[in-house]
Amino acid sequence: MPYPLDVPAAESSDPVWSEANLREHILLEQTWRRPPGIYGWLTATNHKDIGLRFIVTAFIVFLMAGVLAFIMRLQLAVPENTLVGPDLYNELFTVHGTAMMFLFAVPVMEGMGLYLVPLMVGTRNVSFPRLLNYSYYIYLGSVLLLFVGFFLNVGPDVGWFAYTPLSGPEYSSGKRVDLWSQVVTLAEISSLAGAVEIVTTVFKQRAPGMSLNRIPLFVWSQLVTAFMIIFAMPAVMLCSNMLSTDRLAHINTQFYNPAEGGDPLLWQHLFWFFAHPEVYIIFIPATGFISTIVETFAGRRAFGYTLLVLSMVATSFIGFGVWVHHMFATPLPQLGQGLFTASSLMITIPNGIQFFCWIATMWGGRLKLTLPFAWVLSFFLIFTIGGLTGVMLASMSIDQQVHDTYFVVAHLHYVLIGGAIFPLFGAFYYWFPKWTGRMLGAKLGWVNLALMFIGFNLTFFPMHTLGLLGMPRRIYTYFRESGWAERNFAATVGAGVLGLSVLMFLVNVLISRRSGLLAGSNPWGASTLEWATSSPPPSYNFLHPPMVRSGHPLWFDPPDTPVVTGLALEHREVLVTTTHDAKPHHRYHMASEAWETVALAVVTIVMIVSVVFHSLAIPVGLPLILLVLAIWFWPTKETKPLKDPNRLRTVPATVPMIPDPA
Amino acid sequence: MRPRPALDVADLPATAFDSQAPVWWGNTLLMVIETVTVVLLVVTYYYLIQDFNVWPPISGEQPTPRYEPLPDLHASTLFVGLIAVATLPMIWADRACRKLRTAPTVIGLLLALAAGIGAIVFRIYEFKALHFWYDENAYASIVWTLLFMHLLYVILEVAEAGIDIVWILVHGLDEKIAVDVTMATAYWYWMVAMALIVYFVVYWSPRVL
Repeated sequence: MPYPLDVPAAESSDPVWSEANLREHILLEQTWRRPPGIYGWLTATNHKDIGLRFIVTAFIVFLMAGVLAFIMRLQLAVPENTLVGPDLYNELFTVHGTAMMFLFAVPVMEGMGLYLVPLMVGTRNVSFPRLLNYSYYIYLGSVLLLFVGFFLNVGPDVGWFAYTPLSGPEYSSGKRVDLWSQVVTLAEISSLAGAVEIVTTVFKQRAPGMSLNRIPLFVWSQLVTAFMIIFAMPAVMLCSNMLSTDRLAHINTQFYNPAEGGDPLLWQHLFWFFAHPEVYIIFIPATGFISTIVETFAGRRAFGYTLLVLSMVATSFIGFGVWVHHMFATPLPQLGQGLFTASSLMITIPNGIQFFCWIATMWGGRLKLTLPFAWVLSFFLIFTIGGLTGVMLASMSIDQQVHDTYFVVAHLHYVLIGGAIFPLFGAFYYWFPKWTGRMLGAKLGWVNLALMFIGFNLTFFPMHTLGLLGMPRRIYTYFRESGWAERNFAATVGAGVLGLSVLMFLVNVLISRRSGLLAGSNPWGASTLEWATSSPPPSYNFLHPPMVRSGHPLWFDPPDTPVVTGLALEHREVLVTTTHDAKPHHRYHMASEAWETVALAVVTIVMIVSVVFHSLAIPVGLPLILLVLAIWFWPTKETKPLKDPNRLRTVPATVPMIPDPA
Repeated sequence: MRPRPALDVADLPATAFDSQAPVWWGNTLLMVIETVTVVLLVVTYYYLIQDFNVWPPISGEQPTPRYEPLPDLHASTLFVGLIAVATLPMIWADRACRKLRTAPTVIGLLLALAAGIGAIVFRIYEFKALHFWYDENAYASIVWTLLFMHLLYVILEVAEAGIDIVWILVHGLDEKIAVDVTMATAYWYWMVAMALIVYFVVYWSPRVL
């Protein structure tokens, strides 16, 4: 069926339920909702519960790291300020960077994916629900370790990239860096687990008919990101563990110690082999938000779907080949300088293609200027500036001039806040109705956006020229004669406005949760499957998992949507489909809640933290982990055989089919 | 949106093998993650060569400096040989479990389990055969890390095979545990592949490159 360019008026997608459906709803709800009480809360395995926990926890991290940034801005507001001393300042920027990169940006994007991907592909939960629960607690442990450490005055103070030898045992005594490396290890275990969830769910649990070329662009973005996590995160886990073992007196390896043949630059290679892809791990999900929001509010399918997907894939590949541009100030062979300049410039090609596809989508659509869309429009402006300074920094010769100056600070915030935070806020406004059933307030929303736009540019634009004037990064104060005072003062005022804007958002969330407009199942008239169920969705997501015939089922599929029947009602069962064409293959029995996931998370966290303090941590911890794993993976005998012909299932033959008025 | 029942999946099977099973993807992706780790360790090994005049470096910790610094081959060759040969009983168990034949599955797993435990013992001798302690220099650290990481993989596989055996003996062999046995087999192949890489890098590359 050829796609019409114009979208027909949105059908009411509120389900029409018969009495039999109601019975199914009750049984499914009993089967899929978590057990009552604290036990159920702790062991929760539903992707919506855990996804939202990731998002909320990450947002709290965002607020705390933002407060640290504001303290830094206050210190730099005037020259020769004494609000914060040099040691605390070192801690502030290290904890700010670590929290934002490891504990906010990646987890919040993964949280969005964990909540939305199963809904968008039309299934009931992610593939490995217990692993999901485990990954959240590991993440929480990481957050607590960083901030409790900071408040107990053992916060890291060597920058978020912890360069050796500065971070090595010789120059950083005490436990600060050791704890930092365990924060990183925990955060990455959690991210890797989330990535495995997303890849498996996308490949194996799509609605029948959702072949690879019909996957929503947001789901593609999550899939590409998950693969990037799988290939990038092991590098930082490895190098931070090697740093740990180098530092710990009871282990004492020599990886980065030049006196024993180790190499400090090895750290930089391993770290940036992870950390540059990390930027795309943060940015690519944001492009998924943008594609989704642009499609919905342009009211047409994205121009160049295949190009958009291939651009994401190309970005992810090239993203692994540019890490050395962070090391232009280290001794590099000339060929390497040229090669990495070229590869860094090359990444503009797929990103440029994405931009032009979005522009073409908007060009050919009927635009509705809503709040989520306005956030995306702000992204276009801000990210373009960040992209242009990125092109400048990709060049070795320019990088040499502005390396470690505020020019780089300006660039990275334009790219990360412009490229990820603005689309993320757009996504919050877009999906908040799905999460809560209520719309976020529009008036406060526009104030939120206006203040964020003004505050952001006022904070970070002056940093471009501060950098060109020579102001280095990571200095706790500067002399009056430097001529940097006015711009720094402006940046601090901007940071205040930025903080006010985030406060507006929080107030809006608190008010709207209680008294926002009721949203209904599809308030934006969007096309993807998460809008085909109620807001918020029931624990089992879809009464009858949908089948799809196009990439935009709510727009282009006929109103009498065909659905899947025959899935179990009394135990957690989902349909597994083939990887390419999403043809029905088999029924998959999902695990339910278990205390072992929480226990394993606690043992993992205690072992990883104890490594810093005692040589027995691994010899004791590893067998314990194996023991809990053995209990966890001990296969259970089904109480009700999966093949029982009399098992209760959706729309059994005795129940009449729902009459079709058409 | 009005639902119209169109596809009844009640009669589809309840389990599947290989890449159709979600758990196969979980298993495979975790192996990919660990492969990346091993590859990065190998890259680290070769990266560190540039900082040494002699590779492997002459060890100064011995009573007399060790001018023939190559690690011994005996224990490592036995280690690799044993787990490589034990692939055969694993293949046997894999094939048998798909047909729900209990005896060959359990015997195959038991043989592999014995080989795994034997391999762990050989690996302990391997550490001795290196002639240096891990904190001596960067070369020593990376070699020990490569061998230690791989030892962890072997221990995990031994634990998994052990659980599968006990479970089959207690509850009998059904399709669900059969899928687990095929996972253990896939992991065994991967473990052997990684062992060969580590063996070549640590023991043969300083001899032939």
